[in-house]
Amino acid sequence: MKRFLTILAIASTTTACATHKLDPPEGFAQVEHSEYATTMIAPDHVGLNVRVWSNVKGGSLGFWSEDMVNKLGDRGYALTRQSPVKSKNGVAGTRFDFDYTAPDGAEKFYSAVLFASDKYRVVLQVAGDAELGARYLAQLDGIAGETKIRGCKLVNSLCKSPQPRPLEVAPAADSKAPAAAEAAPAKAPQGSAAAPATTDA
Amino acid sequence: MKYRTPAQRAIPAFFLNAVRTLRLRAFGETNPMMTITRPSAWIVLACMLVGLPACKKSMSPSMADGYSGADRGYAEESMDGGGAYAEDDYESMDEPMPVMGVSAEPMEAIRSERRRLFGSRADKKRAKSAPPSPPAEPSAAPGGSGSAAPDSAKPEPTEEQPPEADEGRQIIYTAGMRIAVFNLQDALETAEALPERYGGYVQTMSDSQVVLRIPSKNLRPVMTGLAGYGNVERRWLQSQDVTAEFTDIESRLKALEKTHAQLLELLGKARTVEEALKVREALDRVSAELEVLKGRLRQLSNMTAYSTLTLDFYERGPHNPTPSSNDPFPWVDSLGVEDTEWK
Repeated sequence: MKRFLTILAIASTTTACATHKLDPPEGFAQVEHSEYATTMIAPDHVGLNVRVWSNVKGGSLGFWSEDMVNKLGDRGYALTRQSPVKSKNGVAGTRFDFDYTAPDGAEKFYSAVLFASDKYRVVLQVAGDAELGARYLAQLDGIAGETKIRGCKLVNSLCKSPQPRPLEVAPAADSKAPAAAEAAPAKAPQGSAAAPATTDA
Repeated sequence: MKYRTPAQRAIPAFFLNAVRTLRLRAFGETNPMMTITRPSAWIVLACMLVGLPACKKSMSPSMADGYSGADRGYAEESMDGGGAYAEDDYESMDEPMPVMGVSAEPMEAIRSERRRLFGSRADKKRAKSAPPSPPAEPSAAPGGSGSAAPDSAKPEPTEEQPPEADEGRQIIYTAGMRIAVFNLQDALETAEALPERYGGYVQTMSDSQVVLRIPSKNLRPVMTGLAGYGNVERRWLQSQDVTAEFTDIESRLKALEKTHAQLLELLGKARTVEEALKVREALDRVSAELEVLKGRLRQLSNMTAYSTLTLDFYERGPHNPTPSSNDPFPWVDSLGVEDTEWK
């Protein structure tokens, strides 16, 4: 009994320390892993990673979703899709797909799955050349479903936050940013600044 | 040594009295030495309640700080062997009192001397309550994170009162800005062209930094114009008042020129070669010193006429097109394609 309790204590301590857990999905190899980041790569240079930050009071899924989408919008990311996901251990998350045109004109796909637990906010993101997007984005819900997110309280937990409202990318309005203004028309055809994102919620 | 008011010193006595009275009442003890009755105990408690806030008020930091270091020094120095007493009764030190064998007359003399030197307490209170008078010299850097030394810090000149309004003051301005721009090359070219519009010249230039020498009167318009060009992340200005050095050099120059003229006169009057050589030697020394001073004066004039403006530019990249210096949650800086995709 004593030995069982010791093992249980060690196991609970070990699992409590980890902020997240994601084994490399098929087609990806893990490049690095730490408490706050896991980075993986596919042979065609598509990247998959998990980034973790400490959460703050009031940091609900809705709050961080708006913060992230607005700021990515400022950086030229066009939201094309928003849908709910769930982690392996039941933490509510939201997936945001974006179109992005790099400064050199290359078309990219980018998707970020955001989870907010009481202790952490976690983003699972995947990016690569636009033509590879369909293949990898199709797997993303499954990858998100295999991710474990830690830091949930037993009661009044943020982990069961409601989904954020449907978001749109705010048009870039930096008057001091001629380059951003020039870059905006290039992104417009792909879309989301003009067309609202599809919401699967 | 702790400063305590009479009210504070009285509190323990009140407290002890009250406790003793309550104990007597509670246990029915009688003490022939004590004549405290029940109402008197309540009076004592009421006094405590009134006394506590009063005591707190009397010990407020603002009052305690009202005494300058000079005052404390005076109190301790003038009360030989009675430092503790002097501090305990510090508030009453201004009243004539013979304490520890020190008569009131010398105290009064010292006190008046102290008032002459440091000003009276009423003056200090007036000075404290009055709004602080603005520093004498203007400055041109609004909202900079860096700052000039407090003694040389200048208020921002208004549009009506530009820096050139400082008639008679010789001030060297050194300023700098760190600006995030979208196109580094354009920014550098713009900065390089500034002297054509505002005067001055480019002192040094590198990949991302330009050091300009701008006429001091144009420093403000140049900095204001640059602020609109990109996102100013840091702005600083330092000023150095060299009026004293300037005046000193001018006086020394006048005196040396006078000496120089007298020596020339003496040289003309020299009758022997030896006399002429001695005068010539002195004349050379004076001439050399004159040249040094003139050189320094020229240097100071140049430094005051032209301000040094160091511009550091850095390019906002695609990774961080919007500087997040004011963002409480700059987490998105580590999101996005650049952070995820492998190249």
